[in-house]
Amino acid sequence: MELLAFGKTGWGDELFYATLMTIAVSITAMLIGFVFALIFTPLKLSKYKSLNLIGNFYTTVIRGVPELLVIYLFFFGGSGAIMYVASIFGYFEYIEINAFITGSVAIGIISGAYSTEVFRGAIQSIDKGQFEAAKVLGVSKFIQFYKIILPQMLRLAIPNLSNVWQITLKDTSLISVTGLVEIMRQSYIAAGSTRDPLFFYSFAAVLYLLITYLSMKLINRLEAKYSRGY
Amino acid sequence: MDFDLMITSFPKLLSATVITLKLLSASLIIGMFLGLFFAILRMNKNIFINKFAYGYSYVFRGTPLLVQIFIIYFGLGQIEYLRSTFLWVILKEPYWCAIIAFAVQL
Repeated sequence: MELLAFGKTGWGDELFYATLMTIAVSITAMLIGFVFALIFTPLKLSKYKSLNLIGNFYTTVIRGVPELLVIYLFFFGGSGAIMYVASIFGYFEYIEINAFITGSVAIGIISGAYSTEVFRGAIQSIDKGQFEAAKVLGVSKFIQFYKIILPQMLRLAIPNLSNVWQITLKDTSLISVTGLVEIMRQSYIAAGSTRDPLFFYSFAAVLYLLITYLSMKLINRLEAKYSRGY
Repeated sequence: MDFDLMITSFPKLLSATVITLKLLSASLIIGMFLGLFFAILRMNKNIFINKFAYGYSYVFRGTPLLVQIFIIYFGLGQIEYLRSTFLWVILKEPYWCAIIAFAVQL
């Protein structure tokens, strides 16, 4: 227990801040994922074959490639790409990109691919009559989507989005390879310096489980809210 | 694009792919048996057995694979008792640790 003490003697406060970092990265990545889903879901549902192809390419490639590979590509490839672009403009110094930003974007792109599939499925399961009825009302396209399609879509999407959230949360452990100090990285450091890997990695597992458990409670409430009337 | 580097490293990547496929098939088979076993437990009427199976899937689905791999590979080596049993022969090898970690995740 004294290993978990706060202050200079234990790892309690370090692990606490690491947990906050994990939560911050997960939420940022999830939001970035939503932005990607917002772009690619319409592409996947479009009438045009070429747009469909772009949407399918994104979800198939990202879901078919290991997450670790995407992170490596972004972290090591990303700074190279930015330096190449900078060299065109005559800047030749070494540029290091922030681990938090690259990590969040990499995980966000992965989570976006899963979210896209969830939203696509949810919109496709809404009854066709609802779209027709929305059109007949004669309101703008935005109101059609926002007032009629979106509430019905969310009811169907939230249970699957909670799965995406879990995947995103677990994927953040992979960012530890880039040196960002989140739960996994902090336990690695603590395990290395105390030679007690079993304890620290088990504790990391407990922390992840705790985050999952608490977030599931919140999501269940949200689910109940959007299922009113069913 | 450095095509020479690509060509020279291609055979190495190809042999690594074989290991990936071996790990995949071994974990799939072990995982399916484990899954079947816990699915049967999950349908048991005894509430303790039922909850145990539920807890198994909850814990392994709720924690990152990386954490599990680290616990199995670095953590279990720490328990002195395990070192003296036959299990250590299995756990010594990274290959088997990987298989165990992937299999329980399935």
